[in-house]
Amino acid sequence: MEAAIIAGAVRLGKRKAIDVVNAALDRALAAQDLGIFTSLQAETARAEALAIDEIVARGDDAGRLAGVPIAVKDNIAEAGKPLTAASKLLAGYTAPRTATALARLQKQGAVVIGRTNMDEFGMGSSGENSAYGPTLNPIQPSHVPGGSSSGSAAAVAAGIVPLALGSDTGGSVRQPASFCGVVGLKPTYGRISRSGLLAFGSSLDQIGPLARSVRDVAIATHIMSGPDPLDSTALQTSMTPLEAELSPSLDGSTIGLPLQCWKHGKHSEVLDAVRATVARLEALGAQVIDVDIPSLEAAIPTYYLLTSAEAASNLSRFDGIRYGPRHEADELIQTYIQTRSQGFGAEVRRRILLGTFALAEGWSDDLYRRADAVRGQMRKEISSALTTADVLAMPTAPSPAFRLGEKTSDPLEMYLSDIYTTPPSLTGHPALSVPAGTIDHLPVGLQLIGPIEDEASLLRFGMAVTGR
Amino acid sequence: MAVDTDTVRQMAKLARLHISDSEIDSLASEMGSILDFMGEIAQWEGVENPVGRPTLRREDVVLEATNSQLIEAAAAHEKGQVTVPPIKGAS
Repeated sequence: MEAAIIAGAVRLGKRKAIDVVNAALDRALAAQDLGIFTSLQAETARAEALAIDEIVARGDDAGRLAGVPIAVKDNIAEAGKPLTAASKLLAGYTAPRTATALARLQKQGAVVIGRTNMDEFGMGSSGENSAYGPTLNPIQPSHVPGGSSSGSAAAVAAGIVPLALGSDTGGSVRQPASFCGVVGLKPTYGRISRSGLLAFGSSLDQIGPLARSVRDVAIATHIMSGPDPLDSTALQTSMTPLEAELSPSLDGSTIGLPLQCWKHGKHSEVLDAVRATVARLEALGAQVIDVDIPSLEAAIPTYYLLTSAEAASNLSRFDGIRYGPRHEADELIQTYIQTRSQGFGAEVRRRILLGTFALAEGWSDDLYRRADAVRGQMRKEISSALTTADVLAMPTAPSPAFRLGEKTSDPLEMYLSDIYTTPPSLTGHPALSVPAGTIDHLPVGLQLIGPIEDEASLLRFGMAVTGR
Repeated sequence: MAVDTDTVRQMAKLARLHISDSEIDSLASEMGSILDFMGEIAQWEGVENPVGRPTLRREDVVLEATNSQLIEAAAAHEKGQVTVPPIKGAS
């Protein structure tokens, strides 16, 4: 059931928040084999639900998400709760405060039932790089749910919660949404405060919601958006809320299909499924045009170069001194080395080494600057394409969910699954993934990219696809 | 770009990571192919990445301190301070 409908029933006293939350906790326990959660928080969830029921009983406003059970990716802090980023390095760490985005949802009555599994520190596209073991895709448990917000996507797809929080640096909300058949939004860079989100690639990181309906994604994004004194990169404006009653007509609107994705794309089954969904939008009145965005071809190397460099820098703070368990040695430097080497998993260490290389004097100064220039070019080209088209459309991922273990031995092959999701992360444009049919029962996602700061029109097209 | 094991060890040293002998060869080869791939951007012309938005300033206001919680979250602390091993080990 949708978050908006649950909250409506709870606010009217037709349903008790405690019943809704207990049912979600029961479903979470029943689905334990899927590896969705790193921890459940039944006790605080029940206490919060009872408090909401009291507010309703008093006749006061319990908030727009009153009694809605949510799941939160384990890299978004909640005070007094574990914060592991699915890494051994942060085993046992308790967050001292709550992320702004989460606090805003809680203020509107959302109840966190658990923290979700993920690729360690957000680095991965399959959910397999977790110290807690992989998350399985609820639709086909032999397959991955995508990553890195693997548990959040799976929690929504399995029907445990109607709404979950993920984070997206290069597709980590959208690609698992695509693999699990749910809706996921990466808002405009800066739309949602990152205060309390563990940093990976700071010039790209965004918190984003996953839900079954576009409407729920819109409500959650609207609540979380707005300026925050704790994050100077947060935009000064809030998202425009979606109109309650949207006209289904798309008359007069234009959808751009980047040639680089459609004409040169190698993944014909996925392209066919997504094109059929675009055709449904055409039937509603949208016009479809080709657009040329040459720099899209450089997205993956640009993305991995810049994010590895940022990750190497961001993760230098994890040395056993301030956060997580310490592997104490005789001297300080060995303490750092032992803690980091035993705490970080293989993929995180690989990215730190790549990032260190990218930033090392001599070799890569030039490549790093070049990557930054390609990024600027891409931003210019996408913004320009969005002057002739209202949104750009393409698959979210080049394939449906792949099998567990299928790509773990080849990191480069795994990186290539981010080919469509990395461009808007690099350029800051908002991007939405909505379900667009299935191939052999496995979901495929349509990705829509919209103008900077204009999530509302993006969500309108998304709603035309999903009907809710 | 071929990456030799000495380069990997040098990067590991800078990144404060220990790489075991058993993983060094495969890591060097993986990094080589990934860096080859990253090197593709050398053929791309770009424009300077424009600075996105102006620097924001805010009022300097006093907030409730959370220092003690941050320190208590550290692996070792004493009298409100984080404690660490000696910089140079006992000889």
